[in-house]
Amino acid sequence: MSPASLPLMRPGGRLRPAPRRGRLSRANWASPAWLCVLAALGLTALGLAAIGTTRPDLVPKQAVLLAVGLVAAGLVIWPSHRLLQWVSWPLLGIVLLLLIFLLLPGVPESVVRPRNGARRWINLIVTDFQPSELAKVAVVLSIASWLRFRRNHRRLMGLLPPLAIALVPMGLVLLEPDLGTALLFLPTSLAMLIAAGARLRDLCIIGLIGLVAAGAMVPMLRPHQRDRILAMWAQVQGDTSYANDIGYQGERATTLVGAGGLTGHGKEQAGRLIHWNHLPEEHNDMVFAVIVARWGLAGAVVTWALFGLLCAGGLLVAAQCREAFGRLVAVGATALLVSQMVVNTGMTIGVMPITGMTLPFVSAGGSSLVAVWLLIGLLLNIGLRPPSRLWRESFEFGPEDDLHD
Amino acid sequence: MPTATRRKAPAQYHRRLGLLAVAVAVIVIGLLVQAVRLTLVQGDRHLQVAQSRLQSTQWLPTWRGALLDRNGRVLAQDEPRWEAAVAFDAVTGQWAEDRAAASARTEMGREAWAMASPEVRAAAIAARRPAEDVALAALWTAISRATDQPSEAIATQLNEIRGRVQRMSAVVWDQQRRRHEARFGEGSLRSFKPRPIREQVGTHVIAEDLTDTQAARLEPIAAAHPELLELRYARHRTHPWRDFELELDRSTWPGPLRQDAMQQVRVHDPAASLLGTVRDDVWEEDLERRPFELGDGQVDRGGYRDVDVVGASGLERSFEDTLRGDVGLVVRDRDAGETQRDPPVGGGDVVLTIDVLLQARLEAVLDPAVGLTVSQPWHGGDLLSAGTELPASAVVLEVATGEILAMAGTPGPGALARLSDADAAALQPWLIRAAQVSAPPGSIVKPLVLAAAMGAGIIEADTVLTCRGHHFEDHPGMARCWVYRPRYGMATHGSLGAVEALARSCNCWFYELGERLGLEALSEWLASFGLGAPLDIGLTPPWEDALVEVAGARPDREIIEALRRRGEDTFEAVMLGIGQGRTAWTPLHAADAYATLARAGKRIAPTLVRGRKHTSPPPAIPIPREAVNVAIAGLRDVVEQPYGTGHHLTWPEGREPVFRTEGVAIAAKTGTAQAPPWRRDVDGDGVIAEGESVSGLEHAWVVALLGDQGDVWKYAIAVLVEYGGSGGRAAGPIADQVVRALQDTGYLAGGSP
Repeated sequence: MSPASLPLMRPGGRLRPAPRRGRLSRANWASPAWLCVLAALGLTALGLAAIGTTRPDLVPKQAVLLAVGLVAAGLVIWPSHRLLQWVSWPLLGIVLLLLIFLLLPGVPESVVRPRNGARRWINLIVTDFQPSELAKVAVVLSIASWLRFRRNHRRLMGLLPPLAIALVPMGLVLLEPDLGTALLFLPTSLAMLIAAGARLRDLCIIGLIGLVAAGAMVPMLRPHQRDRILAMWAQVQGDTSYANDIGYQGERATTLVGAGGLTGHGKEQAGRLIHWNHLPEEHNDMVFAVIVARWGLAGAVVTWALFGLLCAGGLLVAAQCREAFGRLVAVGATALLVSQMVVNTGMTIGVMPITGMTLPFVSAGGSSLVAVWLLIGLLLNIGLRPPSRLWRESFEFGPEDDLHD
Repeated sequence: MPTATRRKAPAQYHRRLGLLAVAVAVIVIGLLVQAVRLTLVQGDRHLQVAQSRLQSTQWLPTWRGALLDRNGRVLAQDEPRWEAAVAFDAVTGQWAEDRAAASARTEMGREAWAMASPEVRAAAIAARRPAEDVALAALWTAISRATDQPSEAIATQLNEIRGRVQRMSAVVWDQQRRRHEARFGEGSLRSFKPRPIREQVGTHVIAEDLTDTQAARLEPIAAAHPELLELRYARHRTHPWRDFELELDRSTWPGPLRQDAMQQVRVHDPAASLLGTVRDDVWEEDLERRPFELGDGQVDRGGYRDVDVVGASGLERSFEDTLRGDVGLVVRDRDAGETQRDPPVGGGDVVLTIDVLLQARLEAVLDPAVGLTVSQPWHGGDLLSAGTELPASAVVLEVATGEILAMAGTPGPGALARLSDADAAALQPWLIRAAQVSAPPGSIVKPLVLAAAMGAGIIEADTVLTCRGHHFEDHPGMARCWVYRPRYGMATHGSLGAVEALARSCNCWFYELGERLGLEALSEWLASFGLGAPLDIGLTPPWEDALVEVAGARPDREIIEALRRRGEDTFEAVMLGIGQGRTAWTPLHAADAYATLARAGKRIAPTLVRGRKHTSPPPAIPIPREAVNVAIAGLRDVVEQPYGTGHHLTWPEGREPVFRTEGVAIAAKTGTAQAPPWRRDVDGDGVIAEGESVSGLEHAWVVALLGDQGDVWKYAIAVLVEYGGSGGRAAGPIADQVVRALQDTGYLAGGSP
């Protein structure tokens, strides 16, 4: 038995040898990460067409932002995982400080400019910066860093540290308030824990506790947040009594989605319908309603299919990756994007409460687009990276591996 | 080895990835199902809603039809007139605050304003507020000058508007708060934000009924402040005959009231209680009865919206569907800017059978200030002090058509302002007394009893009966004739025929007919004249089950059976023979029954409105012509023979005919009927105490058929003076004035219009 084939006597897996090759030649050019790139480009193109339906003036800006996003993605393709792991904790710390900074009472409004009562943006003069977008990436990297060599998350108590990594920034984001973004932390961390081999029973217990806690926290929600949940519930039941106040946005969105029918309307007619139905945020949070009004159910199916392709690509990247950190980052990035898609399209078609949430790659907006292309860059980083010469079979647990509580 | 076992199956990590993929697929399928539901299942409805928003729809107001009298005179109409309305923000001064804020924002610049603290902003606004207050004060001054109102009057109106809206908003917000709490649960009030009520975002009329000159003066002010002042040409319900003045010739009045001078009488609003009122607020019941939106985008253009005017009472209410009209529609394609206009359709006119001049005369005659409807010494009783106001009503019916030419009563709705609550509750001045207040008929029933007896073959035209002063041989104190009393020397009428019995109003004669007919038959005969059932003259809205016109009373089958079991049916029949007991008529009933008698039994449903169609005309009554002739002859003798109860009035100074009109054929019957205790709040303490009730009073009736000389009876009139005492003395002079009014308005010959 060669030394390279000796099992590494550390928990979590065994080291395996890998062939030695040159850096570029060793790159996994046939990586399924390209599926993610393809889906992201398709969604971005769809977004440009949808934005062009109602706000053609925003299309050039969105194209420029796409270029910025691509550059950002290109920048994160190259750093090694070791660097990313090293960066993850300081990044999380910086993000937490920024989130706290947003909530500090004495901060002048010229720096943190409240919009509709929400303190989410820091004024960088040339543009506004939303720390919660960066927080999503930081949380994915940090949870991956935490879990990569551990196995104590096979215990109920062991789930608490990774959940805390998600819950602390989530709580701060909730206080901004930004319910939509906050809602993404839970499914993302949950998906990462599932992939990392946490016991499903423990996750169910945590989920139940979470449900009870969520119920207890309902009184702490802002009035408009509670009203939106009630409005969504009323809308699902066919009650239109909220249609002119808190349920206005939801009613307009579902009406336009329904009006799209099977194949939608021509650009001019769709534009007229959207304009005169006064759909708020039609180029941004409500862009999915524009897609369905323009291309009907077919447009919705194409959108979901592209996200399905992205999800498949992300999970395949995770499946092919042999390295623990890369595996979890791939799962986390994919889960983040898919969760955001589910929340956005769900609220647009009236099955989730209205929150300020963009549709990844499709909605107009700088922070959002750059952030999601950063995630694609991370997926490419993981997918293209050649396998390590020594690798462990991570997150493979049997009953004999379980720690006792 | 366990490791070897694990490698055979897919790795746990990959299984977990598969689980995540499946979860995503399930979620996306769920989203897809909802999308299919919205686009394919509900797609048409959503498309319709979305497309409807491409158009702006503006409903154009319609106008109510007019109410006209039988000669085409307008009694009520929608009339456009100038009015000035101001925004509520101007009333509260919020406009000045907003203007000061806008001015401060502009001067500081958007960026600086956004950066400024609330304190800095408030100071900037406060610095600019006085200038805006001055501008607002200048506006009120300009409005005051343009509308010729003192500035104090404008200030008072503004205060009233503020107070009124504040009270209304308090009520509405309380309801909103309760609904919010009911919907979101306890403790949800933290998120409650009251929505402004309509009055807080709309305009308020500050000057109305403006002349063209005043409107012209206001126009430039409104143009300079379009957000504050609105000058509009709006429709209002007006009664052109409001404040109508007429002259009464008092030389024709009974001796004690007679004067040579003409008396000017101001009739506030002739036929007001018949016409009824409209209201500006739409009630829930209106919306339920005739909603504007029918669902699925359909509308009933005659349906109710929040801004509509609704008939509230009288004919305005009962003919609401005819009068209200259909709104028009302007549809503007918001994208193309094209406009389609479908004009409103005005409401239909309703032509009444009323003659407003005759109506005004009747109302003037019944006005207590004139003196005929207050207690007078010659009325024949001293239980009420002289000058006590007496409720009274009168009706004039055209015999040939059943059309009501006039129908008046006192006290009318205008009396509410001067009556205490207790008196108002006792008198019910909001009622149309001639159709809604009934009283025992007394002797006016006698010609009908006579016709019934002859129709039933119980008596002949030449039947002679003997009056011995009382009906029951062994009970001289019961069922007495009206002359069989100490003040008449316990007289009797002796033997007399039907005509004389009617003229003398001999009770014993009709006691006998009542007994011979029997209670059931007599009641049925009276029912065939329409007595004891409501007469649908057009005051009841078609959507209501029960008529607002009252039924009066007659013994029905159930009562008759009960009386029969107790052995009291004979006595009841005897009493019914003279119009006492369980019977009550309205003056309308009386006039209609006499008109039926004049038509020899042919019944025509009386009506207030021309062109109404009755689904089932009442059946004719089989009265022999001979019976009609005998009854009419008796009624003529009532007036013409010296012994007739309607022949003359007597007072200490002398006597004079009840009907002093000439050239008119009159066949009349007086009636004096026992009345329930008179109850009034004499001391004005708001309570009618035991001591404020007077018993032993009687209602006074006169019912008459009128015609030009000859046997063609053109009009039936009925007059009821409640608690008036003797029919001839209290109601007779009023009936005489009604005849004069018919002459003066050209309905009968011999007048002096």
